[in-house]
Amino acid sequence: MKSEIWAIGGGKGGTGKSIITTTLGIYLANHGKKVSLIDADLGGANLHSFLRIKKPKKSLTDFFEKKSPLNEIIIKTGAPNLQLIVGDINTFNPTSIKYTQKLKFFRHIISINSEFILIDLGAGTHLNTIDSFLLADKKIVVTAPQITSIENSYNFIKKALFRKINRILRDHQLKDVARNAWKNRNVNEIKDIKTFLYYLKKSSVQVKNLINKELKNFKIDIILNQIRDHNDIEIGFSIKSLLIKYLGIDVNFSGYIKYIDSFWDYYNGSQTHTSNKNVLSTPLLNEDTHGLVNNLVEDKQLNLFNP
Amino acid sequence: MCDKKLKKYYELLEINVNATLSELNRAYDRIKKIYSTESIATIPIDNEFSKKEREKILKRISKAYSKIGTHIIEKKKKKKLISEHDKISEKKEGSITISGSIIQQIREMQGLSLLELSKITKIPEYMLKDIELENYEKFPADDLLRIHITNYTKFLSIDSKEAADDYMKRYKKWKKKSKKEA
Repeated sequence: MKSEIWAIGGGKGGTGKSIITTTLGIYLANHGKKVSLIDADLGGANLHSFLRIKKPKKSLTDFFEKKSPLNEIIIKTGAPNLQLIVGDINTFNPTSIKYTQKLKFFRHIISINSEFILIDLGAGTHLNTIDSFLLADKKIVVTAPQITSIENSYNFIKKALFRKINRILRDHQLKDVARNAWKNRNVNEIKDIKTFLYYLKKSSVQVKNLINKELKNFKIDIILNQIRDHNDIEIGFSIKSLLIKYLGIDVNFSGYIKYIDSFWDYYNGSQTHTSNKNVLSTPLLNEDTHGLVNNLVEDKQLNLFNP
Repeated sequence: MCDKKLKKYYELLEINVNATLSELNRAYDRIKKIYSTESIATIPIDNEFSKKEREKILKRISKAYSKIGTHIIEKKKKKKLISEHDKISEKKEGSITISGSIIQQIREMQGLSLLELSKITKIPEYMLKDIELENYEKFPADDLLRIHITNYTKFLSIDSKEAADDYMKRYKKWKKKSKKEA
């Protein structure tokens, strides 16, 4: 079975990446898809809490350090189609994992018997986070209509693009071109990713073609969380347009999720919601999620004129 | 306009190539607002994405808007023409007569003048006019008239045999009647 890997990131903490990953996973599983969730949140893995299971003892650290096979660290959830793999603070230790190991990890992930593998990248723009993001089939950025969230999302996307371009040039034995450009950035008048790309493209036709090709293939899916009104939805369209026109990448505004006032009551309060233990749910499973998941699965986006 | 250029304009306005005129207007309003006002989406990249650059984009957007607008209107006109043509053809199938004035309408919808048609079909301009106005008394011999009608309607993509049959039937009826009266 060929599995599709979705990475859910976006820089800022608290935008709802974990609950969205959980919600997407449960939705797909409830619709008969085999789904694996991977919690790769550095700061605090807590997908298990949203799935109402106890913190598992085995984690990805066992895979990387003790060479445990992946299927030994897979955890069952309340839904038969849904399973969980947990990372922890040691898993993505800055110095512990080489790029080749990450590639190996992704090869192993694909071998899990799942149609969808959803990775919650957590907050931050650590290299391991960025690399996992870039290796995924679908690069999902969760943001919220707050200036700090949007700023962090831009930074996250820019960092990912920067990493991707460097990697592509490296794969074509053009590592020094990028390195020298960046090293002498003051002389070369490189101030940001845009001027960096501009400088590189001028250096040779080969580099220019490589970069243009990468930009065209660099596709981001945006999910806007915690929206409160129609104006907030417009922010999503603005983010999309600005990213397309500023960076030259491909962006889908896949959908939004409404702000829910009583969100935490669902998890903090009594367990009445879980009376039916065979059906997992989250407070975000609603009409909007339905449209959102369909857009993601079918690679469509929000209707421009009837969002 | 070349398709590639047009596609670029649509991309610039971030709309589908099948967008309607009202969709175009809404997309234009939205995108104009994005690049001409400050919002929490623009402020974080204000330093890198300069005002000057955004103004350049605005200019390109407004050019794209007018180009696409023209394109959609032209497309609409063409479509209307075809659908009206179809309507007339349908009428014809419902055995409603193909009168001279219907032939004239179809010609005008295709934007053709009598002079142009005369040059192409080699039928004298006055004769084409007589056919359209049904100036029965000025018509030539039946055989010649039939050939003219056939050639003329064929050029307008009307079923020429049917048109000629129908037209001649009415003409002969008129001739018989006027003979009787005489």
